[in-house]
Amino acid sequence: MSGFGQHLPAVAPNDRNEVVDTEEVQVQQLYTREGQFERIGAVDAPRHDEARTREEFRVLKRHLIARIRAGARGLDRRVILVTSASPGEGKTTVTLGLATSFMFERDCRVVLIDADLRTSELTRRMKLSRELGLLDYLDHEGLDLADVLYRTSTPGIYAVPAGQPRVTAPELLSSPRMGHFLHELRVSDEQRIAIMDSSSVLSCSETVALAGHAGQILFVTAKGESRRQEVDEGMGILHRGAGPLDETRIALVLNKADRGQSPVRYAARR
Amino acid sequence: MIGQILDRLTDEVRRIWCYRWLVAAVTATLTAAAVAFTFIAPNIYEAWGQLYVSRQTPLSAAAESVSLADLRSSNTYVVQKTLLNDDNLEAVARALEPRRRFTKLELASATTGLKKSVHLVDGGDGFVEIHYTNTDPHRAQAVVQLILNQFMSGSYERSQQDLRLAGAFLDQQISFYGDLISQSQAKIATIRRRWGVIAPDAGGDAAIAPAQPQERAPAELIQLPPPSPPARSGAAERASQLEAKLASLLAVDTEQHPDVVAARRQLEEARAQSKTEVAEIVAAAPLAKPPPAPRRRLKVRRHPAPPPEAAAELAELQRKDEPLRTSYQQLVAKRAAAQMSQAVSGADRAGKFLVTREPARPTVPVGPKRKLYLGVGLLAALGGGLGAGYLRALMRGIMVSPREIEEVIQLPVIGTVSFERAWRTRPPFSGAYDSAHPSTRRQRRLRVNVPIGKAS
Repeated sequence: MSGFGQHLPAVAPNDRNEVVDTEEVQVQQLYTREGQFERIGAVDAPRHDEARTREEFRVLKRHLIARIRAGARGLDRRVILVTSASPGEGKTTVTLGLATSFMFERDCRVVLIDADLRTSELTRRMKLSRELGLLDYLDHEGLDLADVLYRTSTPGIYAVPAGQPRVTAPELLSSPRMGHFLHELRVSDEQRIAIMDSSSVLSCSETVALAGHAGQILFVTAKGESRRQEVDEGMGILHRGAGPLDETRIALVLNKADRGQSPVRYAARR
Repeated sequence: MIGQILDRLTDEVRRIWCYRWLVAAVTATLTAAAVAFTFIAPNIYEAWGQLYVSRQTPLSAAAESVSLADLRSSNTYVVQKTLLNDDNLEAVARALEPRRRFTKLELASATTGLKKSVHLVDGGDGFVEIHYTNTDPHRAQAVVQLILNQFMSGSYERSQQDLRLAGAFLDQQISFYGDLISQSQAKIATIRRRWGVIAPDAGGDAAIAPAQPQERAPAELIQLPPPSPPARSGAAERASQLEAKLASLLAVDTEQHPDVVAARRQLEEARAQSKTEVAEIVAAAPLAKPPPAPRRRLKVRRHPAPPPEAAAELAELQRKDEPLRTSYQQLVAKRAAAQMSQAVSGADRAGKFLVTREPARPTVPVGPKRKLYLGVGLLAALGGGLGAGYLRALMRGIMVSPREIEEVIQLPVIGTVSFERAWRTRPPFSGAYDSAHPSTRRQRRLRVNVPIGKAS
């Protein structure tokens, strides 16, 4: 079986100094040196109300899983694009929170793809800024999926950093190789879910190209920050560039909401 | 319904809360401005004087029904209108700064300022208080004093001037009517001299009444008794009386009044009777034999019989003579009343107005009401801050709730992510750090980033 996990080095997260062979040493070193995935726990960190935040992401996850189980028509519903109208509305935070929430599902693996080429916030948080990433894979035919896919300290969560910045980044994301990349992810493991953290719609054009590959689009809005005109305009751009968008493919998330607006009313304090 | 309204209100509060720092900044700025204004504003002093506006003085009571001055209109409104006119206030403004040369604009500005600052208060029972507020107590006192002085002198002079004008007008009218009566008497005398009109004497005997020329002006009637009416027929005299009565009635009543109608009917009858009598006299004149007269009268030259035109003119003159005399007498009586009124006004020195309280220099400020201003300023600052925040939120068009997003975008909001700081739920850390202490261990367990994989 040519599964997704076979491309990864057989290194346990808590056993980072173990060396298997030369190729794995390189990956091992990469992971050991930069792949500290502890920051992904920032969403679930004690800086926030853990129980409530966890439950809120569970609510989001249930909606997405329900859509996945509802069946796909053409596009892979397991490829989820997280975007917003303008920067700073919490796309990376929602991406990390969703990943940690999906991690709790049995037989479910999550691949975090940093497609935000402007800020690369996800890559920076995972401390993979200097490693090979998505743009390197798209630009070089010789690179394989395993070269840009990194295991993290959290079982079941893998990361694809943004890679070295390039001027041709938007064109690379719009190229057919991006579709090939997502196809490889799908065929390697059917239980895995790819979550792409992209740029905001109104700040760059490649988000629309990425939305064309996504089976589900999660549009993040921030309370008190997102302007209705910008959200409306961003939705219009996605609708025109990524095909017809209906409520089965796109959904909104209100970030930075008050506790009173949370669907979780009686969460435990810890 | 109520739930929807509350939801909307909550959304609006959230909208303002998103700009809480702007609200706080604007509120703080406005509060500082209000506090500064409240405590920097100078003290305001109020000086006041009191007038007693008499409705009836002893002299005016004595002159009641004789005096022409209106003694019933002395109220606050009249005082205000007569006191706060531009002339008085300009005089006050000039008196306040005697060395300054005012331009028209400056004078108008000073007058307007005085008019705004002077307030009249009706104290009841004829008392009127004049209040003036200013930051300078000396000026406040001076202004009230000047206004009182100006008002008193102006009121007296105005009253005297009015009475003088009334006297002059009455003198002119008396002279005019005197001339009319003189002309009428002269014509009657001329007719009598020429035609020797027979008038019935007291004994009923007809005699030739020699006409007496009346050249002198009847102005002497003020001192002299009114001249005896000329001899005439009974109907003509009655007609004259009725005309005078009708004129006096018309001065009071309208044409439709029953007395006026009756008087007019009687006048018509009297005129008709007078004409009949005159015609009979004229017709019987050539046939009538004069009674035997004493010798002295035989020496009198006999006049030819008057023609009907002369008789009619004489009757007309006699008819008009009586109303003229009546009007003349009325004018003379009014002139006497005017003189008496002038004497009354001059004797009690504008006795309608009396200064009952001279303005004193105020020592205790009456304003500004700093506590009130401070409270109102704080409320206004808070309102301004909230308004600024709300306006800012509306201008940016932010969205604050899933319901609002769904209404605008027409797509479902499948969830929310709330940010809550951990210190709200974390027990406070106190005391020295002791890793062995149970509370420290509990806090560490809370704070440490537990790998999610282990947690599961």
